[in-house]
Amino acid sequence: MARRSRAEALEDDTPELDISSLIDVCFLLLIYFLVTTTIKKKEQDLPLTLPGNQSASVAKIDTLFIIVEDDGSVSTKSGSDVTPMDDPSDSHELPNLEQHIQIYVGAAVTSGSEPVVQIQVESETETQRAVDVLNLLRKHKVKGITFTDTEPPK
Amino acid sequence: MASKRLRAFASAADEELKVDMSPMIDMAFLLIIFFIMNANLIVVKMDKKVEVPVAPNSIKQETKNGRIVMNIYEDGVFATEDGRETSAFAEDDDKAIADYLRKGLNRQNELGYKPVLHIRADRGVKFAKARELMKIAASVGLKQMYFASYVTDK
Repeated sequence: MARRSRAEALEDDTPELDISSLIDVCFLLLIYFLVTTTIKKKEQDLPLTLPGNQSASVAKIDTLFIIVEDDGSVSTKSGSDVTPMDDPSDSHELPNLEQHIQIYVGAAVTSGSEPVVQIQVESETETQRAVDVLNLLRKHKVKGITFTDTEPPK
Repeated sequence: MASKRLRAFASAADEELKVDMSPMIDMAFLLIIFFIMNANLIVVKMDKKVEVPVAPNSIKQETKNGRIVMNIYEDGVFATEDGRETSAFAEDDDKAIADYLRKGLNRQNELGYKPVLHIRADRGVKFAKARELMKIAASVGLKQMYFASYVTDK
């Protein structure tokens, strides 16, 4: 009898932590996340600021004029010369235009002026193609972007 | 008389069966940690019916503050972020769109945020529709815009 009471006394001294509530909360949290989580592709932003009032300073470098045709082909225009750049394709890359933009931006930086780009997008062009051009301009940090609906000045 | 094995089984028969739950609890914690680490808060309500274009050089969406969301569906219908079932604009109803943008602009200005037009245009829609929206936005004084885009096609 004395041995049993000593054993019982020893058992009573062992502290116990009841974590069953913690496990319940854990499962509740898990169920919450399982029910509310949806797998979606993440969207990002392609910023564009429309030009404000014309600045008083005159740009030292000519505006780069880009034309995006209905079929997705891209060309540049300088004066009356239209230079085809990239043909329509499923790829979002525009290697020739990118090269041209690099040269233009380099020249703008050298001359100490901000690069300015005018984009003419034909009415039947898909938005993806126009965004491909905007994406490229974003890559080269061109902020001066305007859209034009009319024929460029000759 | 009885074999050793039989005696052992008989003595164990009255013991309680226990299931060790600790690995299950470990798995539950791991799953919670996975969900907590990978979950992203959605900045802007994304209508599944609009498949936005791909732009690898787009920037991460930072905050919802100041955004006035407009969806442009593949068939050219404009709607607010509540979706085309409840908030589609009638075709050529530029005045209603301008009123909506103006209200949004004033509300964001009152709240002290910089108003931004968040354009969720379907990649297949004609860019002329996005252009039309941009013109209406410019007419009400909304010059800062974001084009919603995915980083990759996958």
